[in-house]
Amino acid sequence: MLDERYLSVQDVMRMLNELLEVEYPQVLFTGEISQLTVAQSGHIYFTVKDAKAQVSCALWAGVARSSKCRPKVGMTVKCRGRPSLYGQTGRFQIIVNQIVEDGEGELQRRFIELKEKLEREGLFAVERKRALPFLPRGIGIVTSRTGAVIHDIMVKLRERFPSVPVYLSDTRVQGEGVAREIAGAIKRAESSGYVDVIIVARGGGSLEDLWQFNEEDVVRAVFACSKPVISGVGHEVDVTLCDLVADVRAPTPTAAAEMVVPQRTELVQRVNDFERRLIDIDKWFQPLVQIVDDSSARLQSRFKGVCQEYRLRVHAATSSLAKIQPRTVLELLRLKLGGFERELRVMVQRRCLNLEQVTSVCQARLIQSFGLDDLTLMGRMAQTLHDRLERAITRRFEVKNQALGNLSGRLEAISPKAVLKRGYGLVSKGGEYISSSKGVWEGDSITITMRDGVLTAEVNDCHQMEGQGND
Amino acid sequence: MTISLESIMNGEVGIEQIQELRFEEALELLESVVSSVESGNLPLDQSIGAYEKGTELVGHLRALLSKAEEKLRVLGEDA
Repeated sequence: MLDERYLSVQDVMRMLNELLEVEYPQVLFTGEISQLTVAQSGHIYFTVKDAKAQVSCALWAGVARSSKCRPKVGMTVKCRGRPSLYGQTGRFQIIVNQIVEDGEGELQRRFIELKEKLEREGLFAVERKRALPFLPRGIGIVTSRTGAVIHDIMVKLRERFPSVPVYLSDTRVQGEGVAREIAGAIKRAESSGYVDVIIVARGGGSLEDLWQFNEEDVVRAVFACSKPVISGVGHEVDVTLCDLVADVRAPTPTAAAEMVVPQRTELVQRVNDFERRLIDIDKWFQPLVQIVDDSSARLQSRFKGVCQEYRLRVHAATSSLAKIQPRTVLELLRLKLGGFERELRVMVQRRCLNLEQVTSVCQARLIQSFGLDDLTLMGRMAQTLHDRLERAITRRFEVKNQALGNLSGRLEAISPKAVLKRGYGLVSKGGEYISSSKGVWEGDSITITMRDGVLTAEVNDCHQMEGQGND
Repeated sequence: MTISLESIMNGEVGIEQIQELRFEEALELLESVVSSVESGNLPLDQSIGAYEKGTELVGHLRALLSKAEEKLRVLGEDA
């Protein structure tokens, strides 16, 4: 017991007062006034009670004078005050700094009056409520930057749809004359041009705390706003005029955040579903594309084969022409060449016809296997290949014709007629051309073909030159 | 700005126009495109064109659904 310290009563009272000051700087309470004394000084001492307890209160003269409420016994009041211990009497009391009559109090009366007035003007009409955008490109939030409300809203928005930009239009949300500030914040959010929807929000509180949201300035600003407005003021039980005029009323600020954006994951699901259906369509295309590719490859290889065949034929014709003796009559050559040309033309025409048939058979099979009326894509491809074949063959002809022309020129140059032009004569005996004096005797009749005519002559003499003619 | 299904099918819509669409518009359009291609009544080349536009719409919707977190911006007094 020696170690224990004993405080003076004064110290105990001071210590308890300090404790009260720190822990309960202010209390709000409601009850009925049961006793009341007005002191000479003007201070008012009274007791507030309910069914189970009572508390002593002091209302200083200054506060009493500035208050609209005139407390009297039996009145139900709402008080705000500071708990304290009064040292001189050891009494616990609450120093009241705000007192209002409950029930049909001043605020209630004003609320009802303003509500009726604005209702008559049609501000709360259901017909003018606008739908919220499905996914806003920007969200404006009218609230205090320091409160828990903006934090709660941001948490909810990030949970639901984090990529929508959020713009805070900072304003105080409580206190005399703040309504104009709130109205200004609504206009600022609206005119920023960034937002598709506006949330007006405030956390829970007493009727008085929320009162600014019942002021005409706020109600008219919401009404005039060109963007849809969600009101999330107080708790679900608190209904403000701001709630009534807004396009949508949310029971709480967090609920407002839930209403303003869709759940991202749900939308991702929907987009994924559509994408899967699109990919299915792609799969459906694939066999078709495959068939078109195959057909085109088959057509191409066929055309290649045909071209190769023609090339060989023309080549063969050229080499057999080269083998033909220059002595062979030019007419025969021309005749043969003409025949080749005709044959080639007929062949090409026949081949083309054949290929057209093949193409149409392929087309018919494609149409049959797919039941599609329109295979324009494949048709176009086949047409292109057909055109290319025709061009290639035409070009090939031109080249060969030219080659044949050259060949004819060369043949002309070595033709016997050309030799005759130079003054030589062709000698024939008995209808056969001769190139030797052997076998020709005196008195034989020979024919000499000249450039421009035929001479018939008789051999007068016959000499054979030494070393010649024995070849 | 809205885009009709016809203009999509006729290949008159560029990717820039698609990227300006609001989410719900793009989603609605995607639904019509997918349904009409699935119906099988379109000619082949229109189907392919519609498939391409469908893919672009999916890309735009994906961008709108990005997980990127936006910061809170405070509107200035005179903003």
